[in-house]
Amino acid sequence: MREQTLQMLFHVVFLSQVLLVSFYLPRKILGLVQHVVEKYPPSRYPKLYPVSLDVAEKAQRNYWNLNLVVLAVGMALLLISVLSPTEEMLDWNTTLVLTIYLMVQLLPAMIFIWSNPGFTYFNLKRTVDSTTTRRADLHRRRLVDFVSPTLLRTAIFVYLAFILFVAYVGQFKFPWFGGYLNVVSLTAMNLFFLGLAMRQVYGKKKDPYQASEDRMRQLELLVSTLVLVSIGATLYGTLQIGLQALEWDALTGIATSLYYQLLAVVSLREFRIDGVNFEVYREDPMATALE
Amino acid sequence: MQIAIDIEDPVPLFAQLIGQIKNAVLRDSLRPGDALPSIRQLANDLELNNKTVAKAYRLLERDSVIQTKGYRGTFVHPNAKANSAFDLNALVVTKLNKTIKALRDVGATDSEIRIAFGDLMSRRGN
Repeated sequence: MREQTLQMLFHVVFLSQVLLVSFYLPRKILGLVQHVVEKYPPSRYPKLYPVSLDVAEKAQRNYWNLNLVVLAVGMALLLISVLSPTEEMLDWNTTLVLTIYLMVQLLPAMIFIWSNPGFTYFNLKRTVDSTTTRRADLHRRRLVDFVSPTLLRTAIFVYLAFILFVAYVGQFKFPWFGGYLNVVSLTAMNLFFLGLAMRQVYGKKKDPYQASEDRMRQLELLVSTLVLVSIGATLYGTLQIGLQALEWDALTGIATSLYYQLLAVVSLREFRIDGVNFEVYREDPMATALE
Repeated sequence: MQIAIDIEDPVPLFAQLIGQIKNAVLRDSLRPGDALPSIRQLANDLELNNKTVAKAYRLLERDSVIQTKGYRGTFVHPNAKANSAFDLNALVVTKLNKTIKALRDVGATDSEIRIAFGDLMSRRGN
Protein backbone atom coordinates (compact mmCIF):
# COMPACT_ATOMS: atom_id res chain seq x y z
CA MET A 1 0.00 0.00 0.00
CA ARG A 2 2.80 2.36 0.96
CA GLU A 3 4.60 1.49 -2.28
CA GLN A 4 1.45 2.22 -4.27
CA THR A 5 1.06 5.61 -2.55
CA LEU A 6 4.69 6.45 -3.25
CA GLN A 7 4.35 5.31 -6.84
CA MET A 8 1.27 7.52 -7.26
CA LEU A 9 3.12 10.44 -5.68
CA PHE A 10 6.02 9.86 -8.06
CA HIS A 11 3.69 9.97 -11.05
CA VAL A 12 2.18 13.27 -9.84
CA VAL A 13 5.64 14.77 -9.33
CA PHE A 14 6.82 13.55 -12.73
CA LEU A 15 3.70 14.98 -14.38
CA SER A 16 4.57 18.27 -12.70
CA GLN A 17 8.11 18.08 -14.19
CA VAL A 18 6.75 17.40 -17.66
CA LEU A 19 4.30 20.30 -17.51
CA LEU A 20 6.63 22.74 -15.75
CA VAL A 21 9.71 22.32 -17.93
CA SER A 22 8.06 21.60 -21.30
CA PHE A 23 4.95 23.78 -21.08
CA TYR A 24 4.83 26.40 -18.34
CA LEU A 25 8.43 27.66 -18.52
CA PRO A 26 8.64 27.85 -22.35
CA ARG A 27 5.27 29.66 -22.34
CA LYS A 28 6.58 32.10 -19.77
CA ILE A 29 9.77 32.71 -21.73
CA LEU A 30 7.92 33.25 -25.00
CA GLY A 31 5.47 35.56 -23.20
CA LEU A 32 8.41 37.61 -22.00
CA VAL A 33 9.83 37.78 -25.53
CA GLN A 34 6.44 38.89 -26.87
CA HIS A 35 6.18 41.55 -24.18
CA VAL A 36 9.60 42.92 -25.18
CA VAL A 37 8.67 42.94 -28.88
CA GLU A 38 5.43 44.82 -28.15
CA LYS A 39 6.92 47.33 -25.76
CA TYR A 40 10.23 47.81 -27.58
CA PRO A 41 9.42 47.30 -31.29
CA PRO A 42 12.09 47.16 -34.04
CA SER A 43 10.96 50.51 -35.46
CA ARG A 44 12.05 52.34 -32.29
CA TYR A 45 14.66 49.95 -30.87
CA PRO A 46 16.46 48.61 -33.95
CA LYS A 47 19.61 47.66 -32.06
CA LEU A 48 17.65 45.02 -30.16
CA TYR A 49 16.90 43.20 -33.41
CA PRO A 50 20.05 42.20 -35.33
CA VAL A 51 17.84 39.82 -37.36
CA SER A 52 14.43 40.51 -38.85
CA LEU A 53 11.39 39.93 -36.70
CA ASP A 54 10.26 37.16 -39.09
CA VAL A 55 13.42 35.15 -38.44
CA ALA A 56 13.09 35.65 -34.69
CA GLU A 57 9.40 34.65 -34.75
CA LYS A 58 10.18 31.52 -36.75
CA ALA A 59 12.81 30.52 -34.17
CA GLN A 60 10.26 31.07 -31.40
CA ARG A 61 7.69 28.90 -33.19
CA ASN A 62 10.24 26.13 -33.65
CA TYR A 63 11.18 26.39 -29.96
CA TRP A 64 7.52 26.09 -28.90
CA ASN A 65 6.78 23.19 -31.26
CA LEU A 66 9.83 21.27 -30.06
CA ASN A 67 8.67 21.73 -26.47
CA LEU A 68 5.27 20.32 -27.40
CA VAL A 69 6.95 17.24 -28.89
CA VAL A 70 8.99 16.77 -25.71
CA LEU A 71 5.81 17.25 -23.67
CA ALA A 72 4.18 14.44 -25.67
CA VAL A 73 7.20 12.21 -25.02
CA GLY A 74 6.92 12.96 -21.31
CA MET A 75 3.22 12.10 -21.28
CA ALA A 76 3.97 8.84 -23.08
CA LEU A 77 6.66 8.03 -20.49
CA LEU A 78 4.19 8.77 -17.72
CA LEU A 79 1.52 6.54 -19.27
CA ILE A 80 4.00 3.68 -19.67
CA SER A 81 5.09 4.09 -16.06
CA VAL A 82 1.49 4.14 -14.77
CA LEU A 83 0.57 1.03 -16.73
CA SER A 84 3.82 -0.80 -15.97
CA PRO A 85 3.85 -3.35 -13.14
CA THR A 86 7.44 -2.52 -12.21
CA GLU A 87 8.50 0.27 -9.87
CA GLU A 88 11.43 1.40 -12.04
CA MET A 89 10.59 3.55 -15.06
CA LEU A 90 10.87 1.66 -18.36
CA ASP A 91 11.92 -1.30 -16.22
CA TRP A 92 15.35 0.31 -16.05
CA ASN A 93 16.57 2.89 -13.52
CA THR A 94 14.18 5.69 -12.60
CA THR A 95 16.89 8.25 -11.79
CA LEU A 96 18.64 7.58 -15.09
CA VAL A 97 15.41 7.80 -17.08
CA LEU A 98 14.53 11.09 -15.36
CA THR A 99 17.98 12.48 -16.09
CA ILE A 100 17.83 11.50 -19.76
CA TYR A 101 14.35 12.94 -20.03
CA LEU A 102 15.52 16.20 -18.47
CA MET A 103 18.28 16.38 -21.12
CA VAL A 104 15.57 15.91 -23.75
CA GLN A 105 13.50 18.65 -22.10
CA LEU A 106 16.47 21.01 -22.34
CA LEU A 107 17.04 20.20 -26.03
CA PRO A 108 14.65 22.83 -27.46
CA ALA A 109 16.45 25.56 -25.51
CA MET A 110 19.87 24.18 -26.54
CA ILE A 111 18.84 24.01 -30.19
CA PHE A 112 17.55 27.56 -29.99
CA ILE A 113 20.73 28.85 -28.33
CA TRP A 114 23.12 27.00 -30.65
CA SER A 115 21.33 27.77 -33.90
CA ASN A 116 20.66 31.00 -35.74
CA PRO A 117 19.49 33.41 -34.39
CA GLY A 118 19.93 32.14 -30.83
CA PHE A 119 23.66 31.47 -30.65
CA THR A 120 24.61 34.17 -33.09
CA TYR A 121 22.33 36.81 -31.51
CA PHE A 122 25.11 38.66 -29.76
CA ASN A 123 27.58 38.11 -32.60
CA LEU A 124 25.02 39.58 -34.99
CA LYS A 125 24.58 42.56 -32.68
CA ARG A 126 28.33 43.10 -32.76
CA THR A 127 28.36 42.84 -36.56
CA VAL A 128 25.71 45.50 -37.03
CA ASP A 129 27.20 47.73 -34.32
CA SER A 130 28.73 50.65 -36.20
CA THR A 131 29.75 52.77 -33.22
CA THR A 132 33.45 53.48 -32.83
CA THR A 133 33.24 54.46 -29.18
CA ARG A 134 33.86 51.82 -26.57
CA ARG A 135 33.08 52.26 -22.91
CA ALA A 136 34.22 50.57 -19.75
CA ASP A 137 33.88 50.98 -16.02
CA LEU A 138 36.99 52.05 -14.17
CA HIS A 139 36.38 49.93 -11.11
CA ARG A 140 37.68 46.44 -10.49
CA ARG A 141 35.22 43.56 -10.69
CA ARG A 142 35.71 40.62 -8.36
CA LEU A 143 33.73 37.41 -8.38
CA VAL A 144 32.78 37.87 -4.73
CA ASP A 145 31.19 41.25 -5.53
CA PHE A 146 28.32 39.44 -7.25
CA VAL A 147 27.23 37.04 -4.54
CA SER A 148 26.24 37.64 -0.94
CA PRO A 149 28.85 36.49 1.62
CA THR A 150 26.13 34.46 3.39
CA LEU A 151 25.27 32.51 0.25
CA LEU A 152 28.93 31.89 -0.51
CA ARG A 153 29.62 30.73 3.05
CA THR A 154 26.57 28.44 2.84
CA ALA A 155 27.86 26.89 -0.38
CA ILE A 156 31.30 26.27 1.12
CA PHE A 157 29.80 24.86 4.33
CA VAL A 158 27.45 22.54 2.42
CA TYR A 159 30.33 21.32 0.23
CA LEU A 160 32.57 20.58 3.20
CA ALA A 161 29.67 18.90 5.02
CA PHE A 162 29.13 16.71 1.96
CA ILE A 163 32.76 15.56 2.03
CA LEU A 164 32.38 14.62 5.70
CA PHE A 165 29.09 12.86 4.94
CA VAL A 166 30.72 10.83 2.16
CA ALA A 167 33.56 9.88 4.53
CA TYR A 168 30.97 8.79 7.12
CA VAL A 169 28.86 6.72 4.68
CA GLY A 170 32.05 5.17 3.27
CA GLN A 171 32.54 3.35 6.58
CA PHE A 172 29.55 1.14 5.90
CA LYS A 173 30.99 -0.26 2.65
CA PHE A 174 27.74 -0.24 0.69
CA PRO A 175 28.29 -2.08 -2.60
CA TRP A 176 26.45 0.64 -4.60
CA PHE A 177 28.37 3.51 -3.01
CA GLY A 178 30.77 5.33 -5.30
CA GLY A 179 32.75 6.70 -2.38
CA TYR A 180 34.98 9.69 -3.05
CA LEU A 181 33.98 9.62 -6.73
CA ASN A 182 30.95 11.58 -5.53
CA VAL A 183 33.28 14.26 -4.15
CA VAL A 184 35.30 14.31 -7.38
CA SER A 185 32.11 14.76 -9.44
CA LEU A 186 30.84 17.53 -7.22
CA THR A 187 34.21 19.27 -7.21
CA ALA A 188 34.38 19.05 -11.01
CA MET A 189 30.91 20.58 -11.22
CA ASN A 190 31.87 23.41 -8.85
CA LEU A 191 35.05 24.11 -10.81
CA PHE A 192 33.02 24.21 -14.01
CA PHE A 193 30.64 26.74 -12.43
CA LEU A 194 33.60 28.77 -11.21
CA GLY A 195 35.07 28.83 -14.72
CA LEU A 196 31.72 29.83 -16.17
CA ALA A 197 31.31 32.64 -13.65
CA MET A 198 34.86 33.93 -14.19
CA ARG A 199 34.36 33.91 -17.94
CA GLN A 200 31.25 36.05 -17.61
CA VAL A 201 32.71 38.42 -15.00
CA TYR A 202 36.11 39.01 -16.63
CA GLY A 203 35.40 38.11 -20.25
CA LYS A 204 34.20 40.22 -23.14
CA LYS A 205 30.80 41.88 -23.10
CA LYS A 206 28.36 39.76 -25.07
CA ASP A 207 26.00 42.63 -25.85
CA PRO A 208 27.91 45.68 -27.15
CA TYR A 209 25.01 48.00 -26.30
CA GLN A 210 24.18 46.74 -22.82
CA ALA A 211 24.23 49.40 -20.11
CA SER A 212 26.84 48.95 -17.41
CA GLU A 213 24.26 48.70 -14.61
CA ASP A 214 22.38 45.99 -16.51
CA ARG A 215 25.56 44.02 -17.01
CA MET A 216 26.34 44.19 -13.28
CA ARG A 217 22.80 43.11 -12.42
CA GLN A 218 22.99 40.23 -14.90
CA LEU A 219 26.35 39.12 -13.47
CA GLU A 220 24.90 39.19 -9.96
CA LEU A 221 21.99 37.07 -11.12
CA LEU A 222 24.25 34.59 -12.90
CA VAL A 223 26.81 34.16 -10.12
CA SER A 224 24.18 33.86 -7.38
CA THR A 225 22.24 31.34 -9.53
CA LEU A 226 25.38 29.25 -10.00
CA VAL A 227 26.02 29.28 -6.26
CA LEU A 228 22.39 28.29 -5.58
CA VAL A 229 22.63 25.44 -8.09
CA SER A 230 25.87 24.29 -6.44
CA ILE A 231 24.15 24.24 -3.04
CA GLY A 232 21.14 22.45 -4.55
CA ALA A 233 23.30 19.84 -6.29
CA THR A 234 25.26 19.15 -3.09
CA LEU A 235 22.09 18.78 -1.03
CA TYR A 236 20.56 16.57 -3.71
CA GLY A 237 23.66 14.36 -3.75
CA THR A 238 23.49 14.08 0.02
CA LEU A 239 19.80 13.22 -0.10
CA GLN A 240 20.29 10.56 -2.78
CA ILE A 241 23.06 8.83 -0.85
CA GLY A 242 21.03 9.05 2.35
CA LEU A 243 17.89 7.62 0.76
CA GLN A 244 19.81 4.72 -0.74
CA ALA A 245 21.62 4.04 2.51
CA LEU A 246 18.28 3.91 4.35
CA GLU A 247 16.86 1.72 1.53
CA TRP A 248 14.14 4.27 0.72
CA ASP A 249 14.72 3.79 -3.00
CA ALA A 250 11.11 4.57 -3.79
CA LEU A 251 11.74 8.17 -2.79
CA THR A 252 14.82 8.68 -4.99
CA GLY A 253 12.72 9.18 -8.12
CA ILE A 254 10.54 11.76 -6.37
CA ALA A 255 13.59 13.57 -4.99
CA THR A 256 15.25 13.58 -8.43
CA SER A 257 12.23 14.97 -10.25
CA LEU A 258 11.67 17.65 -7.60
CA TYR A 259 15.32 18.63 -7.77
CA TYR A 260 15.19 19.00 -11.55
CA GLN A 261 12.08 21.14 -11.27
CA LEU A 262 13.81 23.34 -8.71
CA LEU A 263 16.76 23.75 -11.10
CA ALA A 264 14.39 24.76 -13.88
CA VAL A 265 12.65 27.34 -11.70
CA VAL A 266 15.96 28.79 -10.47
CA SER A 267 17.25 29.07 -14.04
CA LEU A 268 14.21 31.19 -14.94
CA ARG A 269 15.81 33.98 -12.88
CA GLU A 270 18.10 34.59 -15.86
CA PHE A 271 15.13 35.81 -17.90
CA ARG A 272 14.20 38.83 -15.81
CA ILE A 273 13.75 42.10 -17.69
CA ASP A 274 12.45 44.40 -14.96
CA GLY A 275 14.77 47.32 -14.51
CA VAL A 276 16.67 46.66 -17.75
CA ASN A 277 17.66 49.83 -19.61
CA PHE A 278 16.25 49.36 -23.11
CA GLU A 279 17.06 52.93 -24.16
CA VAL A 280 20.55 51.81 -25.21
CA TYR A 281 18.91 49.89 -28.06
CA ARG A 282 17.24 52.94 -29.55
CA GLU A 283 18.09 54.30 -32.96
CA ASP A 284 21.39 56.19 -32.88
CA PRO A 285 20.35 59.87 -32.38
CA MET A 286 23.28 61.05 -34.59
CA ALA A 287 22.24 58.73 -37.43
CA THR A 288 18.68 59.97 -37.16
CA ALA A 289 19.83 63.60 -37.22
CA LEU A 290 21.94 63.04 -40.33
CA GLU A 291 19.03 61.50 -42.30
CA MET B 1 33.08 56.00 -13.37
CA GLN B 2 33.13 55.18 -17.06
CA ILE B 3 35.73 55.89 -19.69
CA ALA B 4 35.19 56.00 -23.41
CA ILE B 5 37.70 55.52 -26.19
CA ASP B 6 37.22 56.08 -29.89
CA ILE B 7 38.89 53.45 -32.02
CA GLU B 8 38.92 55.76 -35.03
CA ASP B 9 40.46 58.70 -33.23
CA PRO B 10 43.97 59.54 -34.57
CA VAL B 11 45.20 59.64 -30.96
CA PRO B 12 46.66 56.19 -30.14
CA LEU B 13 44.40 54.02 -28.00
CA PHE B 14 46.90 53.71 -25.14
CA ALA B 15 47.25 57.52 -25.10
CA GLN B 16 43.46 57.90 -24.94
CA LEU B 17 43.41 55.51 -21.99
CA ILE B 18 46.16 57.40 -20.20
CA GLY B 19 44.40 60.72 -20.81
CA GLN B 20 41.04 59.42 -19.60
CA ILE B 21 42.48 57.91 -16.41
CA LYS B 22 44.45 61.06 -15.63
CA ASN B 23 41.34 63.17 -16.21
CA ALA B 24 39.37 60.92 -13.90
CA VAL B 25 42.01 61.44 -11.21
CA LEU B 26 42.04 65.21 -11.72
CA ARG B 27 38.21 65.32 -11.50
CA ASP B 28 38.31 63.25 -8.28
CA SER B 29 36.29 60.53 -9.98
CA LEU B 30 39.21 58.30 -9.04
CA ARG B 31 40.73 58.80 -5.62
CA PRO B 32 44.04 57.62 -4.12
CA GLY B 33 43.76 53.97 -3.18
CA ASP B 34 40.86 53.19 -5.53
CA ALA B 35 41.22 49.80 -7.19
CA LEU B 36 41.49 49.85 -10.97
CA PRO B 37 40.37 47.02 -13.22
CA SER B 38 42.92 44.40 -14.14
CA ILE B 39 44.58 44.64 -17.55
CA ARG B 40 42.56 41.66 -18.77
CA GLN B 41 39.27 43.04 -17.49
CA LEU B 42 39.78 46.48 -19.05
CA ALA B 43 41.06 44.99 -22.32
CA ASN B 44 38.01 42.75 -22.56
CA ASP B 45 35.58 45.53 -21.68
CA LEU B 46 37.06 47.89 -24.27
CA GLU B 47 37.76 45.05 -26.73
CA LEU B 48 41.39 46.05 -26.97
CA ASN B 49 44.55 44.01 -27.10
CA ASN B 50 45.97 43.24 -23.64
CA LYS B 51 49.25 44.84 -24.72
CA THR B 52 47.55 48.19 -25.38
CA VAL B 53 46.14 48.33 -21.88
CA ALA B 54 49.38 46.98 -20.41
CA LYS B 55 51.31 49.80 -22.13
CA ALA B 56 48.92 52.42 -20.78
CA TYR B 57 49.23 50.98 -17.25
CA ARG B 58 53.02 50.83 -17.54
CA LEU B 59 53.24 54.48 -18.51
CA LEU B 60 50.78 55.50 -15.81
CA GLU B 61 52.87 53.64 -13.28
CA ARG B 62 56.02 55.35 -14.58
CA ASP B 63 54.26 58.70 -14.04
CA SER B 64 53.22 57.54 -10.52
CA VAL B 65 49.51 57.92 -11.31
CA ILE B 66 48.85 54.26 -10.48
CA GLN B 67 50.74 51.59 -8.57
CA THR B 68 50.66 47.83 -9.00
CA LYS B 69 50.75 45.74 -5.85
CA GLY B 70 51.37 42.31 -7.32
CA TYR B 71 48.48 39.86 -6.98
CA ARG B 72 46.45 42.42 -5.03
CA GLY B 73 45.93 44.46 -8.18
CA THR B 74 46.38 48.00 -9.42
CA PHE B 75 45.48 51.05 -7.39
CA VAL B 76 45.47 54.82 -7.78
CA HIS B 77 48.73 56.27 -6.45
CA PRO B 78 48.57 58.33 -3.24
CA ASN B 79 49.97 61.36 -5.13
CA ALA B 80 48.09 60.64 -8.33
CA LYS B 81 46.39 64.02 -8.53
CA ALA B 82 49.61 66.01 -8.43
CA ASN B 83 51.33 63.57 -10.78
CA SER B 84 48.43 63.59 -13.26
CA ALA B 85 48.75 67.35 -13.66
CA PHE B 86 52.35 66.84 -14.78
CA ASP B 87 52.52 66.10 -18.50
CA LEU B 88 55.78 64.34 -19.33
CA ASN B 89 55.13 64.44 -23.05
CA ALA B 90 54.64 68.19 -22.94
CA LEU B 91 57.92 68.52 -21.04
CA VAL B 92 59.73 66.43 -23.68
CA VAL B 93 58.36 68.60 -26.47
CA THR B 94 59.27 71.82 -24.65
CA LYS B 95 62.84 70.71 -23.91
CA LEU B 96 63.36 69.41 -27.44
CA ASN B 97 62.01 72.65 -28.87
CA LYS B 98 64.49 74.67 -26.81
CA THR B 99 67.37 72.41 -27.79
CA ILE B 100 66.46 72.46 -31.49
CA LYS B 101 66.14 76.25 -31.43
CA ALA B 102 69.52 76.59 -29.72
CA LEU B 103 71.15 74.29 -32.28
CA ARG B 104 69.62 76.16 -35.20
CA ASP B 105 70.83 79.44 -33.71
CA VAL B 106 74.43 78.18 -33.89
CA GLY B 107 73.94 77.19 -37.55
CA ALA B 108 73.22 73.47 -37.40
CA THR B 109 70.95 72.24 -40.19
CA ASP B 110 67.80 70.20 -39.54
CA SER B 111 69.42 67.22 -41.26
CA GLU B 112 72.51 67.41 -38.97
CA ILE B 113 70.30 67.69 -35.90
CA ARG B 114 68.17 64.73 -37.07
CA ILE B 115 71.21 62.48 -37.78
CA ALA B 116 72.89 63.35 -34.47
CA PHE B 117 69.67 62.73 -32.56
CA GLY B 118 69.16 59.38 -34.29
CA ASP B 119 72.77 58.32 -33.56
CA LEU B 120 72.50 59.27 -29.92
CA MET B 121 69.20 57.44 -29.49
CA SER B 122 70.68 54.31 -31.14
CA ARG B 123 73.74 54.43 -28.88
CA ARG B 124 71.54 54.78 -25.79
CA GLY B 125 69.55 51.75 -26.95
CA ASN B 126 72.76 49.67 -27.17
